[in-house]
Amino acid sequence: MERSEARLAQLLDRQVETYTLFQDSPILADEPMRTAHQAGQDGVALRIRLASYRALPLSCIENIELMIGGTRYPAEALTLFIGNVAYCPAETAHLFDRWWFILDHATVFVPTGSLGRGPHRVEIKLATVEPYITAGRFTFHHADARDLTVAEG
Amino acid sequence: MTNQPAKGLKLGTTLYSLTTEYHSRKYGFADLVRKVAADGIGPGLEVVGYQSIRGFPEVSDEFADEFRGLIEETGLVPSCLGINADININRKKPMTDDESVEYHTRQLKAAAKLGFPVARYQYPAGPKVIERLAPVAEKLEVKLGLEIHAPHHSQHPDVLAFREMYDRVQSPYLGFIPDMGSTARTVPPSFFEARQASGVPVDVIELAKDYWHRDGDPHDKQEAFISECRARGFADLHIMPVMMIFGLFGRAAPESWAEIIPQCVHIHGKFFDFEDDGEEIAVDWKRVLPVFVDGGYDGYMSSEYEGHMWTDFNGFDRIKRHHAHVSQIMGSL
Repeated sequence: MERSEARLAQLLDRQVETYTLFQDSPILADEPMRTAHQAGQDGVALRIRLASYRALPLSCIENIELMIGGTRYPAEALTLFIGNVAYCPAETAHLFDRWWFILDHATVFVPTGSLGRGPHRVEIKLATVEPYITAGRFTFHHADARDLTVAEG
Repeated sequence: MTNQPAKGLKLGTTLYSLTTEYHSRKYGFADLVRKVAADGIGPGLEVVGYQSIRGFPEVSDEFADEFRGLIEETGLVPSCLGINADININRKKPMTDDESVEYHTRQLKAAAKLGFPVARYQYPAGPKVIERLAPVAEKLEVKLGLEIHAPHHSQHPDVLAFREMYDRVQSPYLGFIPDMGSTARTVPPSFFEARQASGVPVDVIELAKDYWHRDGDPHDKQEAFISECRARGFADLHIMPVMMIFGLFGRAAPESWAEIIPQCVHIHGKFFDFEDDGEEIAVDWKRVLPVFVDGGYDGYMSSEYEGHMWTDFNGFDRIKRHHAHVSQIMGSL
């Protein structure tokens, strides 16, 4: 069965805490970030993909956060575009019918203001939950890091 | 086209084994299917709906036509569609039984549209929902197979609940899919090597091996393992990636499958690492295969490689080795 780690939640039914698994996964697209403008803010847009073996609904994206050049941008600061629809990653808990297919890149807008060409150190953390867990919370924390330049959007 | 064993059990591949190749975009879906055929690791073809099909469980006519074309072109046989019981898809509340029946029905329709005779379902669906799906499965002519995966086995209380329901309902469209990771003889070495390479202390690994080989309930062993590691001052960061072994690899005896073989609709041939002489290390295939052959199983088995969770080894090569290993054993039975 795929994603067998998720089965561990069954073993954790009797546990009170939430267990997490950290792993490095390819999330950031290997290409320049693009300058972008969103809701009155200047920043950059970069493409990311889901670190999961299967498609997930947005309700299973527990957290996204980025660090660009040492500055942290939490989920509330980001805008996530999937199929040209904009979402705030911090407000997706109810979106169990909006899907992110694993071969599709999403675009994240980060309100960095005006960044130089770089390269800049970009780190991303993506936390997902497997939806077939019946009890407890088992979160997979994926992390990726790249040095990316900025190109005109 | 493939090494066909002498007995009725037929080989195949689940595309889940090729998650790394697919996720990296090195191979698209059609490329994977063609390479499975070209590498002779069919004839059975298993697919996970939410992995391979954009928009699943909605299957476009276009995709269905493309898939049918691929099957005709390659001569592979659709053996099983992996469907999911996504009970907690809505983080605010778990699915009701009605919602779950609907969620599964859509996936069963997808299986029927694509020509899969079997759908792999997951035990979180629960016996009540699956009982309600039996007439749906019958109408669509898609068998529902409960995957029995570590730490479950044929006698586990969770599985007995399904067996009791099956006995009561008596539908030929309700069956089982044994996963050989449930009846392993050891944890594959590559797993511990990967964990050690990522910084898990050797002492944690040695303790894990010790606990895994002990008799006892996997839940209890896992709790005891975690407690002892913490008592010894090891960090959760190192404990958690290792404690997975109790849920990934089970120690039930392969012979325990015998009593449910008449109800088996598919097999997940889980495998991992090989010795130089071709023997698989974690699963004792010489012991496993006779159980199914003697039991008269004549369906498909998907070679299921899950090592992509902790290694970057070539999935196609691994599957070829598994097919060779299984074929050799089957030929000697």
